[in-house]
Amino acid sequence: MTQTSNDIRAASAISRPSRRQMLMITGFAAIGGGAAFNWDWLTAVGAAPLILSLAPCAAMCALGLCPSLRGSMGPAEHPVESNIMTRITPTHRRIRIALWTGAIAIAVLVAVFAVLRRDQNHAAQTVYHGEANIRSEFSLVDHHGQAVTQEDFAGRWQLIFFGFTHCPDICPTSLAYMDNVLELLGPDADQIAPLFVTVDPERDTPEVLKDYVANFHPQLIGLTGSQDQIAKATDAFKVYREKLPAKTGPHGYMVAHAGHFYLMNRDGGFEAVFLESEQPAVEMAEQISTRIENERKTH
Amino acid sequence: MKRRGFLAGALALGASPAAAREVMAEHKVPLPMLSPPITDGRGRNLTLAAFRGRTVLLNIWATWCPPCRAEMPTLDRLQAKLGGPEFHVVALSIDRGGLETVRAFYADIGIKHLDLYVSEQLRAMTALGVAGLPTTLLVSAQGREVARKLGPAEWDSPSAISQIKRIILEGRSQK
Repeated sequence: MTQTSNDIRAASAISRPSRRQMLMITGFAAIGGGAAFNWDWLTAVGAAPLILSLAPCAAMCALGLCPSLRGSMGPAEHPVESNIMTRITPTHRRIRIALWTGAIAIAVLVAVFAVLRRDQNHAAQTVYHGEANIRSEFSLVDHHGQAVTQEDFAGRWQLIFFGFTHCPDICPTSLAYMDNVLELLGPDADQIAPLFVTVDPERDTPEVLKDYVANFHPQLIGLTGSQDQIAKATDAFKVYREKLPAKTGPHGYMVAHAGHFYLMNRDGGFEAVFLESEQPAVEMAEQISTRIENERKTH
Repeated sequence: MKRRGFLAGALALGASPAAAREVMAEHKVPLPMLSPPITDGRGRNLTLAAFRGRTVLLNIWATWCPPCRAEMPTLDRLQAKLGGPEFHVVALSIDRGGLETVRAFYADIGIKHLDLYVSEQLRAMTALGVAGLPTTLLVSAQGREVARKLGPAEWDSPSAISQIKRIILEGRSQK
């Protein structure tokens, strides 16, 4: 008799915590889920707290102490079996407490780690919106010494390259390539303003640019300005540039820069970037003429 | 014995000054070439086939390329030293300005031995795979690309001359 009453007490003592435990599991799941919420690549990791919080339950089931199982199909229907299964001793309780404490600790650690990682990642993550934030905005001086802005080229497509004339060792053939692209475009080239913006305004004065652009397409316009004006233009186009020391060359420095061609549409909005190394001139010309052709069809 | 040979080789390589090493990186197997249409100083149209039988140093350049301008006198001296029935320097300009531009530049810096050669930049860049200037190719007497260098060099330096002489000899034995 004492045995039975003990068992009943034990059973009721377990069935009440089992509901609490279910709540706790839900809580951990919520923490894990919360950490993973709105964070695509960690959703997979978000499953970890869930698994961890369910681990003690699995362990207890293995030990024959599964409270949630017994909660649903437990003592009422099968009192005898349950009595056999649930001989709760202080050792069992200690194991249970240890497992739960471990699970809670791990779940909290994972959640904290997850939140910290999200904060760190936030700054480094590039967010792409519908349109590239590259704008044709500049106030510069052309190779004739005239002040120009993007407004002077409004209504035409713009093909823009950033570079400099004092190549110290190997000269990029980018402007010759651009020249080739324009030639391949034939009459469509008239729809395009080819612009060469120097990233080295110190040396590339309008006079220097005038001599330089004469080597390339007759429509090519060389643009320079003050350091500040050039900085604003490179910022608007998101062009990287960095002054580096150079052993060769007359002035002991060169300007490293990204060698992209920017294609901007008639409204000065961003259309595409090209790199010389990525396609032959014919292909780049085709891609541009397709865009001009599409524009004709839609208007 | 093998190890000794290896060590001796490594030592020789390490001890030799950079200038004594070969100027151009040679291909394992000489490569077939395409030729753009070339115009010479007398306005004649030709292709690289016109130089078959002679080893050719083909330098692709333009007046707007400062390092190309800087190395031009060394090419002139190389032509003076080695130019003849077995070897020829072809300094091929891709200037839009064509012969006139190049002639003016030659006069300006006092070029005496180089002949004038120009080519349309689009066709030259495409046919010869040029992605930067100067680009210099060493072409065998059989018309194949033996070596290629991107960037300037001292073409009349002892190391350049010995490498070119070796290629001339190799071309002679293959005739």
